[in-house]
Amino acid sequence: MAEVSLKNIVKLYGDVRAVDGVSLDIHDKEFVTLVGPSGCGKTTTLHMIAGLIELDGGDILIGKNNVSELDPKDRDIAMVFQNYALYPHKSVRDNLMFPLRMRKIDKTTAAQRVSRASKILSIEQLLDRKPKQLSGGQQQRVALGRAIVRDPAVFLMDEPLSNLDAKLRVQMRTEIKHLQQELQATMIYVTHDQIEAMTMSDRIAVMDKGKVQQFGSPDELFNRPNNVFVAGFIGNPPMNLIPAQLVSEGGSKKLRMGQITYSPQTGHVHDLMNKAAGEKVIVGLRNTAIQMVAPGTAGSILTEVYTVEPTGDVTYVQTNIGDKMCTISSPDVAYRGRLGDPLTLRIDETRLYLFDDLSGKAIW
Amino acid sequence: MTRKQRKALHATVVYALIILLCLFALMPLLWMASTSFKTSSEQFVSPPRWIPQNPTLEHYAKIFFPTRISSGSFQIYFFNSLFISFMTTILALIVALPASYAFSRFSFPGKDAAYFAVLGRNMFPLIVFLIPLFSLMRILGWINTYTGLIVAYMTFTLPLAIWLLKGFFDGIPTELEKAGRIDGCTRFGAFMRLIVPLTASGMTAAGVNTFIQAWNEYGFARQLTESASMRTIPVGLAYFFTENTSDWGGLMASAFLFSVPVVILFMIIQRFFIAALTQGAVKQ
Repeated sequence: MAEVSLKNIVKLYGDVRAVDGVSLDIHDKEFVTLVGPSGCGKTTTLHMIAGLIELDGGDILIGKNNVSELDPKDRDIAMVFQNYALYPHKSVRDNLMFPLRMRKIDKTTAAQRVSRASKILSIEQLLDRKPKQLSGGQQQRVALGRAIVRDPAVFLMDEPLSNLDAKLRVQMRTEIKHLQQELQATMIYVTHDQIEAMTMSDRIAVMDKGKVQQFGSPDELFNRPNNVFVAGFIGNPPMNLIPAQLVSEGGSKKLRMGQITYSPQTGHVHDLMNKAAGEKVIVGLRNTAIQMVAPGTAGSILTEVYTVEPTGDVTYVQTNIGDKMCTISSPDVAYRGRLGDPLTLRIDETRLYLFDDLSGKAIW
Repeated sequence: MTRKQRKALHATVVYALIILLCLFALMPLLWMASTSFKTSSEQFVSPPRWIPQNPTLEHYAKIFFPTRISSGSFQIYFFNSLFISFMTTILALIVALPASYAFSRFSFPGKDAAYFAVLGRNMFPLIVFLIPLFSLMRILGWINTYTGLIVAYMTFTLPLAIWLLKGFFDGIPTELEKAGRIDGCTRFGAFMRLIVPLTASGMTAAGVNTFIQAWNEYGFARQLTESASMRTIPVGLAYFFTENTSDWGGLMASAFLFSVPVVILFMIIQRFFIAALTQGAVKQ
């Protein structure tokens, strides 16, 4: 296994900077996820690490070696693809054997490695079948097996769970994470699903527009997002982001969110407001940082129910705060308010985030 | 009329029409087969007979052992047709395979124009190319040679082969080559080891189609060959009619033998052929 360093890597498609100066230091045995919306450059970055896409700038180091100019086969990596990319004309055994044959590994060792990988993934009984005779989950295991037999320095995973149904995805998520820890593998994983990223990773790189917006542990990204993009991307439901204006009334600063003028009670929020560069800001509140309270509670704001979404263990309530549709969690799972029912809400100011409206950066 | 009866009536009409159409298409072939076994006098009796009264193999004997040396024998025509069609097929596949892969996988300047040019050739009738090709072949000294005919046949067989194979390559996920390259192949190695085996049915379809096109071709073969020893079967068939004689029996026997390989080939590959034509039509 090995560490991986991306040093200011760039990929251009005409005038478009698909990957725009990405730098990451991934530790040995670390599980790192590149996450972001479609077109953010995460898959391109992964393919650049694999050597499937040439770099237009920067360097990639695997271990101590600069692999920027090497062919994929010489980078000591293994990759699992979204559609598994199993060789359809070969049996499962031959699929697993293929990378070993290509590397001229002797037959006895190869057979041992195939046997070990198939035992780890519980696919021993499938070895003589063709890929089309397998279910999606089984194909996924074979694809993982083909990566494992290689015993590579780095595993690259390109949205490997996207083609599975929701239930199987959760199961395979657990298995891949377990596998990574069991093999002590360095793994770079690409997904657009932030839940996958949060549940599996040691660290996550959130990407947008070809750049890394933030690189940190799941807790860091959730609790201290660098900017509006990360705040809105990480977390389910995503953070409520309400455009607001800083106004001075009666000698103190207040937050005007649409029709609501909110007077912060804590020094924490006043500190943030004082640090704001301009008048326009974005207020960030997680669904749990807005609480439904009894009517007449001091410092509360009044809104109405838009919809109620029970999910079983949590009930979400949608409501407009400052002309922005927000999602909050009801403290009572059985709450079934109807359209227009009054809501009294209190903001947990210790968990209020403020972002600069212009740059989108978090104000700390 | 009940719904069931209406359905039965509908099926009857449809099947009757299909049978009629099949008869219409098959009649000349059946007549050809029938005539090839009739004696010369029976060929012209009125009313015509479908089943020969005194079946004979004299016409088959005649075409294999001709009395006039100058007219060439069926064996020579058959060999020429077979050799030229076979070589055209091999050469077309050797060229079409990498060409169609490139059209399917790579982006390069002028790709669309090049692809249009390949397919655009098929918008013109073959005869348009005959005179320029004749001049070219004369300059190259390829008139009355196998090379001349094979190269000439490539001009119309290659475009369809490229088009058919491109459809196959388009249907193969690019991730397979990527996986292959990561697993230890070069780009060419991944193509040969992983992609080519998957296009076997495409190659069969393209190959057989090329073979049939070359096998059936008449115009080029007529103009680009001179001696009887270079004639292909379609050209040879025309020599059953001379200024003074019309050898219907010989013509029908030759034509019947000429059709057999094509029919057999098509029966074997029709499944691949349909797959090739509909490749990429639906999401796999």
